[in-house]
Amino acid sequence: MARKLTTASVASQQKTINPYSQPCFTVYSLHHSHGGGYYQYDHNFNIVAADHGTGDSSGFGTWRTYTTSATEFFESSSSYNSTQTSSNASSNASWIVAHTPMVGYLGHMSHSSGGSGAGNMGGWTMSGRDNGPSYRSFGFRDVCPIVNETHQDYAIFSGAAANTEPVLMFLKRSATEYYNMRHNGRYSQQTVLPRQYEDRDGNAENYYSTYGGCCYNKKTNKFLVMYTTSSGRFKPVVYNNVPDLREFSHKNSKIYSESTSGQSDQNNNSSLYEYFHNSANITEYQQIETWTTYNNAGSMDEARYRPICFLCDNGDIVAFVQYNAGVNFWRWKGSDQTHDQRQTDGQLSQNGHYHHQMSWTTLYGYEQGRQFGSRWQVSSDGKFAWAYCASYYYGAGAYVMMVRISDGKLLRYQTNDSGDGRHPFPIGPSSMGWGNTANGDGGAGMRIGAIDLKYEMDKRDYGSDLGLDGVYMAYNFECGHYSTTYPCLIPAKYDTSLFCSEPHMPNVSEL
Amino acid sequence: MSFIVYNTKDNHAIGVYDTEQAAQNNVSVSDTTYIVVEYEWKETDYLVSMKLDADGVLSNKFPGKTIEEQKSLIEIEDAAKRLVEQVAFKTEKIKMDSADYINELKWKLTRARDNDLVNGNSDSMAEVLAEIDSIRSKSNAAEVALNALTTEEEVIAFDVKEQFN
Repeated sequence: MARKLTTASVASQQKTINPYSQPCFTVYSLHHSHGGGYYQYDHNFNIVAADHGTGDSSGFGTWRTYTTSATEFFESSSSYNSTQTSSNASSNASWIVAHTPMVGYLGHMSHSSGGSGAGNMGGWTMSGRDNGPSYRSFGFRDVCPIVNETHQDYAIFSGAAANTEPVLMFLKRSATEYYNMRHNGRYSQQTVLPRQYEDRDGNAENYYSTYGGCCYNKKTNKFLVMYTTSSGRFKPVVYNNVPDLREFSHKNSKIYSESTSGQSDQNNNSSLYEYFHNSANITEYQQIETWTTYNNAGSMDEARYRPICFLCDNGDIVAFVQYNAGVNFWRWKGSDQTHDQRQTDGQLSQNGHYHHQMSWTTLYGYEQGRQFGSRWQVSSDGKFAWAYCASYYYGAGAYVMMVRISDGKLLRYQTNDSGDGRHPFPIGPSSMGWGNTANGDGGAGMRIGAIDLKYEMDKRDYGSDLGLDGVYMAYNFECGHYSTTYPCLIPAKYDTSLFCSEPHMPNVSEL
Repeated sequence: MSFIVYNTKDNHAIGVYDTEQAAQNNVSVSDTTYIVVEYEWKETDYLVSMKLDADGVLSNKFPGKTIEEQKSLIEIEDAAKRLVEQVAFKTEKIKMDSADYINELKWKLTRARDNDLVNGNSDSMAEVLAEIDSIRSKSNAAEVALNALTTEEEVIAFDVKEQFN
């Protein structure tokens, strides 16, 4: 006689992950003759991984140079700037890991990020006698802002500047992959854009392209292309009803096995080529007047060929443009696309041309090396973004523009620090972390804090200062060495969708 | 009156603020490295030139200079600082490399001692000691050559390994 088996009902087959327990950032240090390591923290500031060396003797786990080699790394000496943390940013050029522009949407230029799938690995060097960051710096220069995107696992690159048509690549969120795709093949994830539009006087003009001067707003399905001229007269063009660019970016998985055939792909092979060449998809905004950041604030290539732009939900466009002594903010109104709004916003100071200016002293951009210039990041929920650059020479101090993407509300910050770089990073659903690469001597560790941009944007007036340097917590974040060391921060690449309403897995409210 | 945020550990100023409150907003409470100093800011002051003395008094270390002159002087200072740092890196590498080369010869000392015992002389030991002495001499010469360099570029280009060939 057969027995009847009863089975208990399964309560839930869903696996849940607390988004706050994902990696958020890693502190890295390696004094060239002492100790250091990688120390990774989650979104609650709890440590989740560490690889620490005591700095003596030879062998693994030492985190110091031993005779002719830096034992942990594929490096002949730990005196290379992309490896060691013995020097602060100051006016140094080179590949100092503490430089402000060393971090961005793609993580850290010299150190690969840990992430949700990285086990207990906080990060690892990509240096190789400074060559690794020199390759990865292409991505940091060319990557375009993506806003209102809850799945931040891809990147869009604009990799041509000056008197040529824009070239876009839609790829994974990886500076290393971009280097591969840019230099080792031409694949269908690449397309060129048209560049002839009306100038301010209504005449046809062949505009110039920019590095990283585009923005994809996932929520509004719009894609901004910021064109320029040799004198930096910016002209925004917005594409409407854009195909899902995230989906497009992930279509290139076949390239790894079909790279040979991929070599033959041309720019017009891309299915996006037709979309971007259909004028019915386009809304033109007004070109700025002859007063430009490049002409009138300070001429360098960064000022004319590298605007960091954000396309807001209301159609407003704000741009962060660096010149040789500071930065300008520019704005166009979505409600009046035929005028740039330099004379209508009362909150930020103006001088009749640009929307806003912060300035201090000598400042360099990408024309001094791809590793320098402005960067951007976006909050996990995609609703807040920030652009920033150094304020002193190559990598010390910071100018920051923070944007609420829903309506283009701005906050700003300027720190005139001639010594240390700043490393921002996204944390939690809507917050911005802020790290200072200052000397950890005396056990202070790395100075790190965070502010909730949602709260600050609600609370503060348009254009007001937000004192980011006031948020630091000293003596809380390990930096591997008690004496002089200038640690850097490596932003993690975690699953941003877990913080949001449509995650890969249930969101935090269901836990 | 202005209020300056100052990094006491690395001895440099960070920001100038109109009110003490604004300055304090840029200093974290728990971190004594950063302090706020009251100062009568002048148009000719350049933030990078401002230094705090032992008595806690802030002053411009290049009084009477224009902003541009101060920038030039700071650049000269920075270049000199970078030169010192680079020389320190390379000096340490010379010392470590020479110690490494000498350590690699230890087995020869053992063999030389054995040979000399068998042969009843000190020829082998003298030969190895001469080899070790040669490494020390090259190391010393490398340090002298390194310290004779006057620019950062020259020091960066200085190949330590070549000095021991």
